[in-house]
Amino acid sequence: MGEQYVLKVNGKEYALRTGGGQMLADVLRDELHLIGTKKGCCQGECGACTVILDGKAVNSCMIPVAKAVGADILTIEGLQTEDGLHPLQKAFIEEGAVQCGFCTPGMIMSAKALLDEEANPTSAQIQEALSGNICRCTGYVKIEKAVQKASEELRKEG
Amino acid sequence: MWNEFESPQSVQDALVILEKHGGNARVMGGGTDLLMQLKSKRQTVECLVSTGKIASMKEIRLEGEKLVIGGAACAMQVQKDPLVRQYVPMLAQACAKLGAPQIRNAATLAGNVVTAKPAADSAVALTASDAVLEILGPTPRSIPLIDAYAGLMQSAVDSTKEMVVAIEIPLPTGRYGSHFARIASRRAAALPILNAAAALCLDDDGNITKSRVVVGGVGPSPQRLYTLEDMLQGQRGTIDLIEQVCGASPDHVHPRDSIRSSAAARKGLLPGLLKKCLLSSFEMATKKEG
Repeated sequence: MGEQYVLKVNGKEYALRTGGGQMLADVLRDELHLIGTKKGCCQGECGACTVILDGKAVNSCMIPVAKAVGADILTIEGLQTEDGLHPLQKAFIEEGAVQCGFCTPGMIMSAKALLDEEANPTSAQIQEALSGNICRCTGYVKIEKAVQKASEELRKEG
Repeated sequence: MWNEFESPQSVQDALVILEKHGGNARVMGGGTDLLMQLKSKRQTVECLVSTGKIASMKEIRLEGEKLVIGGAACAMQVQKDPLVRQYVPMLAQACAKLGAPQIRNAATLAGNVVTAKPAADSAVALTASDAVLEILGPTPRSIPLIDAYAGLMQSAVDSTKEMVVAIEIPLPTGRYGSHFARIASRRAAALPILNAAAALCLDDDGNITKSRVVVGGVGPSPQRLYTLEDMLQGQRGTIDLIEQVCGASPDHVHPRDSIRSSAAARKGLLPGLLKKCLLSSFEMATKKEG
């Protein structure tokens, strides 16, 4: 390969040149240094590498980077604005939905994809949306609560 | 894992690329299974041909008496599609159980069949739907789902030369009901120990005019339990009959011990799982106007 390609991440375009066979997660971390996206299982099971690709939550460890060319990619780094943290990020902190923090970026991206589609999700919808994100220390109660809180906050903001 | 990656925008372009590589390229849907296979076997493919940018293969539409699902439609799309939910509810249910949301946003229905996992959720539901794979390649052909597996983890589709462009499902007629259910160690991201799909058609008098009973996890591919289907066919649909059929079910499967479950446990779980599928199908069919 070695061909040049452009990747659109968090609204910014990056011109890249890498060898074949790379997954999106590796390019995000190693080339763009967006290390908020975590690599856990590297086989599409743990959800730590979740990013939003054209509005849909996907495991970036399983997406060949060539497949992501031309798509809008949103990572955890793209949530914060000039006004500060995203309501989901704030809610995770306030609810104590973070322990070691490794799964958190993926959890938040899955939750973001849900709230973009369903502003007022039920508890079952939240659990379903996060079912591909595995947490081994915080437990899921506070995480679900944080998503609920963020959804309320976002609806207030309108 | 691959040297070249192509994202053609038309079926024709994809076929040209496959031909050019003379059997050394591979069609890739979402890649959620294929990439794992390449990784674990440390294999390198000359060229991966992604179907992700072929817009015409993402459509789900009615065509005459058939529901046509494009070969690049992902599981999440199928799960949410109003036509699928209306006509083939068991397929929407099966897609909703596949992997986890991140997997379903990538994995295609066609890919789930071609990967030929023994108990692929969508393949079980598609078999019970009498679905047919529409394949383009050197020789265009159609393969009924029941013949889509060539052996253990082997598909009848040669994805180095051929592509499933669509999956066609005949629209059910009359009072129809269908249901898919599975048993797994976890609710998400776990392969099933056992999964099943059932479909029933009733006439106005409540007689069963057509029945499908399909089980995954008891053989190298989804198994149609013909004896059980025959026990239902032509009979008046009753809860007693369904219970009788489910009770007989362990005698008609030959599961093996595997990492996920023992053969004995699978046999023991089967009647309950089938009862859930058949009763739900029956209930749905009886509620519907003919």
